[in-house]
Amino acid sequence: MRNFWAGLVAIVAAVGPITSVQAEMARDEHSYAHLDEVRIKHVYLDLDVSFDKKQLAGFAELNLDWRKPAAKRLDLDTRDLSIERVSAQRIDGSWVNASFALAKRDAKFGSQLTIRLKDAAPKVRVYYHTAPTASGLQWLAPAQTLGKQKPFMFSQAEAIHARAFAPLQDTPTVRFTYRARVTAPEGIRVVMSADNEPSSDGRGGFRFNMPQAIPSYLLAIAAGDIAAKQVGPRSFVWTEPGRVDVVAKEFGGHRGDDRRRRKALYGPYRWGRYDMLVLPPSFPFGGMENPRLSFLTPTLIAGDKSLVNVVAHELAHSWSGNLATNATWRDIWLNEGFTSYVENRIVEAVFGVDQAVMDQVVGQQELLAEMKELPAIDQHLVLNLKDRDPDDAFSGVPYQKGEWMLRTLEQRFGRDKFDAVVRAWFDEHAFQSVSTEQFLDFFGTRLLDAKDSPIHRADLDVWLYQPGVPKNALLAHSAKLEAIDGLLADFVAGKKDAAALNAKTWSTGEWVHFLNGYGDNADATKMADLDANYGLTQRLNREITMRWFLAGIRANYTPMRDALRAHLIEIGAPQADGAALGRTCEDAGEQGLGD
Amino acid sequence: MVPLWGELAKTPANKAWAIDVYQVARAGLHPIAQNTLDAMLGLKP
Repeated sequence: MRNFWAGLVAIVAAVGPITSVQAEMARDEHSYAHLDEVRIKHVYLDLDVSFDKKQLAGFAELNLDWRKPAAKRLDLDTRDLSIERVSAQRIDGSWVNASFALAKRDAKFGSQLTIRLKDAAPKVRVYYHTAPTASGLQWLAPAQTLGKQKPFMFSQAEAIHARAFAPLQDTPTVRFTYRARVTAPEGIRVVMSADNEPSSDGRGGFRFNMPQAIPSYLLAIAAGDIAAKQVGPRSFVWTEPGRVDVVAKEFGGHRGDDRRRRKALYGPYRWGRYDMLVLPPSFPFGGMENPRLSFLTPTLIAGDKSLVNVVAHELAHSWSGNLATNATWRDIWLNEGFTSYVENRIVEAVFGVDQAVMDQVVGQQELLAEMKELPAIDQHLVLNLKDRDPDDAFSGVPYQKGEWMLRTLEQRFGRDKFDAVVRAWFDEHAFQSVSTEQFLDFFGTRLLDAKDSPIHRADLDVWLYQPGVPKNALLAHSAKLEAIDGLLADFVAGKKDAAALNAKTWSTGEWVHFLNGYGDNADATKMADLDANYGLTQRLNREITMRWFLAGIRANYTPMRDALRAHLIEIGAPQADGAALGRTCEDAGEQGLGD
Repeated sequence: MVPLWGELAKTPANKAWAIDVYQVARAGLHPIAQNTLDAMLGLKP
């Protein structure tokens, strides 16, 4: 997408004030940290990347902010880390060895590392190395990369996997700035969720600085044969050399656009650069909002708007999530619901109301379908995660139900009123961790508690603390998708065959909606008819492909089984060559996504 | 990708087919995906 980044920044960024209030919390149920005693405020990582051993090894130096200096202990989260030794700086500045104990491993939360200190140590150093099986890292053989010559490694810390590659207070309640020096074998470049210097050759180690305080789940690192290409004044793309031109073409270009700048919604972009790292396809998500360097799957480059939505989503996280961060994973809807809402506002600004409303309809219907299969307790916006790995409880609920609630507020109060409060929410909680209760107080005082308010705090309880969606939730309507509903009914009833659907010009959204509706009624004969007319089994579009395969599994449509098998295996398998990727990008241009 | 495995896990015949494919796919998958799918396909120790 040419000019893509410039347009998005102009839409969401503006100048605004920064204020600071910090909420206090003693414990997070997913961390061993005693937050009322001490908190990490800065981290220095000195690490070596070894592909032979599949490990990161070195030390983490933690600068501490003592709330209860008499505690003289520091409890950290680790998972499968080998701790070699610990040293501590005493108040007089001297360094001494510190005793430590690593507790028995818990399958969900890892091992508590308890460090005993003589005083309120300003700094503690933990010397450690990671396990080859570290849950937060993936080590790829050269064959799993595009270039096939060099290995690759990348991290994914959200929700509680940072502890598998660094000993930390692994909770989003704690924020720290960080610096790092990372050495790697010759020919390997290291990048992090920090400032990345394209001209650095790594001699003496790659050096990083992240001056904005982040929660641990935004600590990120990748290493491999990685090239950089500038695509805007404050934006680079990073990926394997064989993919860099294709990716730069997709994201490249910068154009000042005052018209869009005036639409600025949510305050300044506060992270300096915005770079994108396109990873090998085993990256387990569409994207991850690592600050200054979004991690993205290469399957986004598929010739349709799925790319735009995911990049819009990761960029929106620069405000919702990365600036105002869920204090615990129970509140993840504050990250993802807000971000899905902002994503849809960006889609509206870039592609127009029709596209945005189509996305809303699809999102709402997929949420309602998903909730039919979810236990009632997992349908609350505020999750119940006691004794659970947060990964096991995440679903579409924090995203789609959160977006739906926020849009309900927008529609009831009007955009002018609602946007001002959302903007203030980000401004006044920048670089802070926030809870659902803080959200209720903030939006309550400014909107909900007014006498003539069309919607009150109690109305939000249904969204936040009960399953399903409230009876009066406003459904989105799209004339385009209602036309698809009519065609689908005729197709299922046998009144129209596949050719009569005239679906050659359907957008991704129209196909997704059709296949979502068709999935429950799918039969193999009609799927063969669709396949013969529209080649759906061979389609490269990740959104359409997934729903086509879902329908095909339900209908036992056997002609797609080989393609399904290949699809399920190829995610982590040796990659296709760059030419195939280039072709799909040209398709993107043909479909009018180039502007 | 996870929804596809989840749909396959719903019937015994599809689940058996999926486990067969997963034996090939697993090594290349991310540890987080492995963890989710091990549980989904009933392969967790």
